[in-house]
Amino acid sequence: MEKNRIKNFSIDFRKKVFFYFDNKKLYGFEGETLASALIANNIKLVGRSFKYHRPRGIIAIGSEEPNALVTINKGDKTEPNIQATKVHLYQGLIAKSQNCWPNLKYDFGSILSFFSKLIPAGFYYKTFMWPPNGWKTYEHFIRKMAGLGKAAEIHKDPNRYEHVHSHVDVLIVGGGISGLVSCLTLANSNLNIMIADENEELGGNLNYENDVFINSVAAKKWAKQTTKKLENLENVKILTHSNVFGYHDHNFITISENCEHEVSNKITQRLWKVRAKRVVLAQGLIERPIVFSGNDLPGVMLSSAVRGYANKYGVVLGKKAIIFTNNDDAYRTALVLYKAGIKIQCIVDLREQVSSKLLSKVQNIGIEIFFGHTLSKVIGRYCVKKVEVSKLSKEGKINSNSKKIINADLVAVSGGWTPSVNLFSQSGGKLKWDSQSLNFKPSFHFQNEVTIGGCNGTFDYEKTVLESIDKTKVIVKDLINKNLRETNLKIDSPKFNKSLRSTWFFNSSKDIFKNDKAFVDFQNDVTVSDVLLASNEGYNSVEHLKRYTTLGMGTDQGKTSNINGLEILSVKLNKAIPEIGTTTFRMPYSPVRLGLIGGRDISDLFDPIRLTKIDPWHRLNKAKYENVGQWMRAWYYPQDNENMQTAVNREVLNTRLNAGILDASTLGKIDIKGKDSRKFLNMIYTNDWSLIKPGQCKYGIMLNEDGMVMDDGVTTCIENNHFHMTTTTGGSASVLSWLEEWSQTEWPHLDVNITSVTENWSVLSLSGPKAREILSQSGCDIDLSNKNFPFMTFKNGKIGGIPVRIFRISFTGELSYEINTPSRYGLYLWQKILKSGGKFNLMPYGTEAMHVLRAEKGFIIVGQETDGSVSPLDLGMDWIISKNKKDFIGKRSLKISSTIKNRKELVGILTDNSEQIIPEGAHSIEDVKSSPPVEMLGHVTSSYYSPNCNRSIALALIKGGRSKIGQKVFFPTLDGDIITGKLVKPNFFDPNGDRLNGI
Amino acid sequence: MVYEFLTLKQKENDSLFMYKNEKVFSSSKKVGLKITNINVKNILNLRVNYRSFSFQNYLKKVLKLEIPKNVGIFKNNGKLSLLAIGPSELLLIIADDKNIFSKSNYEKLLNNFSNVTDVTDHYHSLNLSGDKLRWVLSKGCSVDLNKSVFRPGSCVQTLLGNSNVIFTCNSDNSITLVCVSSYIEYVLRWLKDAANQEGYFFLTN
Repeated sequence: MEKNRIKNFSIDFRKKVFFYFDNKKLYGFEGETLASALIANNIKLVGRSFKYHRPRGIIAIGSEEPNALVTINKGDKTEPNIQATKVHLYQGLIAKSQNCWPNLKYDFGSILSFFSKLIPAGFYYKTFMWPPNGWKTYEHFIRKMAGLGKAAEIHKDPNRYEHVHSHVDVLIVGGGISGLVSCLTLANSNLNIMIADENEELGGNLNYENDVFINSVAAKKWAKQTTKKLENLENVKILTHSNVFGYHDHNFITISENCEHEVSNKITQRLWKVRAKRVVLAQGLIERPIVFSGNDLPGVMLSSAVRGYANKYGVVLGKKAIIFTNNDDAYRTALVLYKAGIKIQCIVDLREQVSSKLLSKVQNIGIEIFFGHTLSKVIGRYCVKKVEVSKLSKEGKINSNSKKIINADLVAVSGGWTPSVNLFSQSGGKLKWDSQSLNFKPSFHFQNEVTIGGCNGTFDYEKTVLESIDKTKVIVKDLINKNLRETNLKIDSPKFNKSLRSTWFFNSSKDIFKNDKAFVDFQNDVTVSDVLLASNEGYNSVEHLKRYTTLGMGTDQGKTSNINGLEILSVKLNKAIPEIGTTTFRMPYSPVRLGLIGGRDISDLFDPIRLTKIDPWHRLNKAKYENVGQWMRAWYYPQDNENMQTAVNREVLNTRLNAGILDASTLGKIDIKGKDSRKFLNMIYTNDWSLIKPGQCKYGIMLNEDGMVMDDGVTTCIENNHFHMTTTTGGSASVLSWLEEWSQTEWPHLDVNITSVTENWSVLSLSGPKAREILSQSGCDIDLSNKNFPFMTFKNGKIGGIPVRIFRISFTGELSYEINTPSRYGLYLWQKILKSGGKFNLMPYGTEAMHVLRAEKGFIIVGQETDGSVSPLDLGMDWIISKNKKDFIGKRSLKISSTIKNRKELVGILTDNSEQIIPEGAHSIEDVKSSPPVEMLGHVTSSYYSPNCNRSIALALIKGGRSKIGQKVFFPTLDGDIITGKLVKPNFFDPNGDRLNGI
Repeated sequence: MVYEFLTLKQKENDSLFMYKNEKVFSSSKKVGLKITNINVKNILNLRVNYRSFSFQNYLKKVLKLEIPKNVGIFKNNGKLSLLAIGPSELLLIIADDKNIFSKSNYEKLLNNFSNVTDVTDHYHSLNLSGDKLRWVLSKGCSVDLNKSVFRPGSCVQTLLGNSNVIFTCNSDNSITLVCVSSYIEYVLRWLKDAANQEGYFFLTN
């Protein structure tokens, strides 16, 4: 039996297991939490604080725990910063404490505690300001010291995550008494219901409050019976181990479900994306600590946590307890501890004499109560040893002559209760201060949600049940206009005296914090002095205070500290709390792993990889690939250990000497049909499409509304009212949306239908002087002569019985045929043409060779020569802008841009050293100066080695470039060199286009 | 230069054929999702002006199917499926059966109407079935796939993971998935991954 396990407590544990904490083998029970097992083993010191490395212990029982953060190792998985209160014990669990070296007890970092006066809130903002260049050095050390646990030193997260979308009628957040009652009320409505709770079972604190009975059944038993009943209903989905961490617009809720407890589950965590018609927020309450000197010492715990651990797990972290409270609830803890055989030294109650049934019960068993007293100090090094109790005046002043020192090893503290309104606030709801319960409560509701029970500021069990039933009935009435039958629940619970006394009495107690630390936020080591200092320095807004002191930040998001911090600030500023306001609650409510947000979108599912139908051939022939949008395109085909440059040179040379074939299937293809197709094209493109005849192709450029080039491509008139448009590979989806947008919103009167056919066709671009012979040899049934099949025309035909559409268009400047075939035949036709072309030295070429070939001709690529700020005039393409058309998209803006002088214009560049290739993106300057400023002329858009020109070539956008042809320009490189070159016309090969018709 | 060429068998080892007859069981030795490749004869994209009756009447006559007038529903006679995937956009899926929809009818439909586009090779279809079908799809699809909402006769254009897809609900436990053909490999990978825990069986035919 572990030291702190209560004898004779009937606990529903499964089996005894061993676990390790800081390499020490300990024992606990499967079914309890790590925190409970540590308490059972009398482990008081579980961690070191963030800033001062002070010894810290467990204070809470749930997700509000700020101190007990541990690192869990499980096989190849390492997870830091896990709350011991949320880890369920299993055989062989390995937990390690954090933020300490060489060990938890003798932590070197605790030396910082002695210098705490030198490092108050915001010290690094002031301390590290000089010398200004010293920040880089300071930053290195600050970053080394920052953080608590260390992330695993592996590059791949071994955990698996997934997302699930769910649509429900009602989502209930929280499975405590209010959530359960609401769910029970809804159960027979046939509505689709989901109830989510962060614990391993529904019931909330009913699972450990032994003095509550529902319908004469112990609350815990009732919760179990109710859960079983709900589990059997098809319309109810129960999520346990689930942290509802985000409330977004339109009742969209995000939940992280921990699935590790499911033995057969391969998924570690699941992110539920729930869209609910109504949300019921039933998250309950969180107990507040009280701020006093040494309140962070291990052994100081929240009263409800002490009670919870005792009742639920049969463990108590001490043998001599003191209870310090400002309300009646802590008296329940006294009764539980008394029953467990723990000696209760006394109860220190801030309030003046109060009476209630509960108090009488405590008094009757002989427990001493000090009313109107405070606990002014806790004494001990690693844990509580003694406490100092002092009398308070009515004004809240400490009577220093009344000090009593009392031995104790456990202090159960209750400073009242805070409704858990984080999600309500995330939903956009507004809070209102309730001066009676000293709390912010939900006031204005912004979305379709209701708050019930503790979350709504209702503290009484009976009222909670009534409120839950009533509000749930309204939901049902709203959703399905149905009146539910009465739900009768008889509640028997302790009756409280509701009087409270504010826990903060700054004016009288500031002296006692002079030398001792009183913590407001345990996780971020924010003390009373820090809050006062921040206020003194002008950080009087609660949002500024939060950022200056880090109050309310961290993994616990200030669940136990926010209200205390506000109270201190309000007293300091002599303002009421509502005037101070609250900080904004943001998601996540509790920490969420980044891996969970990524979900399934990792590794090969990160983004779709699109492959053409010809891809198996590319792979078989060991093509190297490049990513073009989501497409994987064959980049080049190295032969016999060729490097990239050699392979590309070979492909480029061979295409101009013999012929090359390119898989151009990724080009966007859009089918445009309808009697107004010409009108439509006239508005989309800058040139005139009125006279294009069936069988003719035409190159077009489309502009954005700002007159800048958006996309380009060849569009072909297949039949009178039928066009086949091609777009760039990367632009296919955006152009389709663009066309649909204009068609549907601006010109719905036009009879035009736009359909994407990108993947309906495989495209084989056969190019080079021998292209005609190869095509003919492949079995093409079309007369391929220049006369019958001239440049910029199209023919339907067959190759070896395979249907094809052949377009005589060229992106290389060579005689070219773009062969389109239904994509099921793509691979077959590719292989057939390659085989036929073997004797003509036909070679495949990849996208890199395609780039070189088009650059030799000065053909642009949208997205490379353009960047959204380049007009067709800048590209020297005045000829493509119709003078006859009344309008086209971007016309007005284009006209305006054409009046701006000295715009960047497309030019060619030849380097002085013909072997030197200018890096793409390099900036050009007119003069080489020894010091800045240096005027930038423009930048290089494309740059290659051209084997046909036997030298490097480049295209660039240069200010007033066309008027500077022949001038010298300079390109400074990153390694300090300067490449020199001269501006030339952007056409390096076959400037007259003689090769288009074949040699 | 010497290049290697693929035989038909080699081709089958590639792409989606690599998953042929792949079977993974759940921990309870079950197969929650069955994926079957569907071969179709043709797929046509039809644009319908609901104010004009000539085309609608022609379709009714040729297809012997009611024209769905609301987005999100489809009509099916076992061999032809007509999906309303947009306010005026229909997708006609013709099953791979020699006895249906004569070539002349097909060509007439394709050539005589300016609002018909052949998109047969643009798409790929799969049939998905099994007890865990809707659960698996809900892992990547934000549309409400509850049986009471996405009922037999419903269709929807949506996302599965990062791929555009069209779903048609054939029965409670059978859904046809249509996606742009270059996404099929991603979709299959995604389905296999999402169904890994529930068990899956991939069949080609």
